[in-house]
Amino acid sequence: MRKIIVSEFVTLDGVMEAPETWQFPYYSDDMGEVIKVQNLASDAMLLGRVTYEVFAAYWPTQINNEFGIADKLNSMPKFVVSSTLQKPLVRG
Amino acid sequence: MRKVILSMMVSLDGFIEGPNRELDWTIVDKEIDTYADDLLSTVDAILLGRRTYQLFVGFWPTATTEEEIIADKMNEIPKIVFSRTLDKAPWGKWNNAHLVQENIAEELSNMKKQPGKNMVIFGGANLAQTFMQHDLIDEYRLLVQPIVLGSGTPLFKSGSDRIHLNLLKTQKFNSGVVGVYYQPAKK
Repeated sequence: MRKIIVSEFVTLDGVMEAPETWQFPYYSDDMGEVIKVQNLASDAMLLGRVTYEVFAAYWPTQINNEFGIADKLNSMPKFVVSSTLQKPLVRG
Repeated sequence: MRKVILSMMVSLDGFIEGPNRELDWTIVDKEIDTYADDLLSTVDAILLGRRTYQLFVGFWPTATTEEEIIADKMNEIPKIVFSRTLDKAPWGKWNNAHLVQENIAEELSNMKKQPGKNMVIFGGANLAQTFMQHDLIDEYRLLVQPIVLGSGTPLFKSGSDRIHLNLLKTQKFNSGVVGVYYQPAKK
């Protein structure tokens, strides 16, 4: 059976919200490699509404395979779980 | 200067005890004993809050090294007990627990300036959080247990300031425990 893998940035005290405000200083090439390998090994992405909106505003504009994962991330099916969104902001 | 080392078992979700103060989820095996024995070899003071003191004093003074390899060290190393409510802190025949009742951050700050080996804090969220607020902890050694408790006493107080850390070391135990060692980043 296919596995669902939870992959998150998380602080030492367990906060995962708004990583764009604290995670960037800790980004490194070897971490990027882990994320890349993980993405290439998956064929579907599960997103909540907030993450979807952040991703939808960024990734579709990355046409040069940014971080080595943009093409894969844009082409793989996304499943967005939301009780409020009426339709996706972009096709994907 | 001698360092204050915080050594704690913590769940993956950041709790140091369950909602009913239970510790039954912590993994204590030979590897952890060795970890504790090595750590105790580098310290000459054990810092305890009131509750941890009461828990420890009910156990260690009657424990022997045949049963618990760190028993002699736990008993022979001087203890500093931080409590506003206790008026004495006996420790069996060793009687080497010193009570600090007031100005605990200032007292610890003074102790750090005195010559000596490192000091370790085992357990005690309140004490740890007080020392964190006063920037008195020089090293965090967290033994992350492979469990999500869901609720309990958090190691880090909600609403406190950010603490930037540098990773010193990681240590993987066969039980699935992962030790992560940090020091606060220089400001």
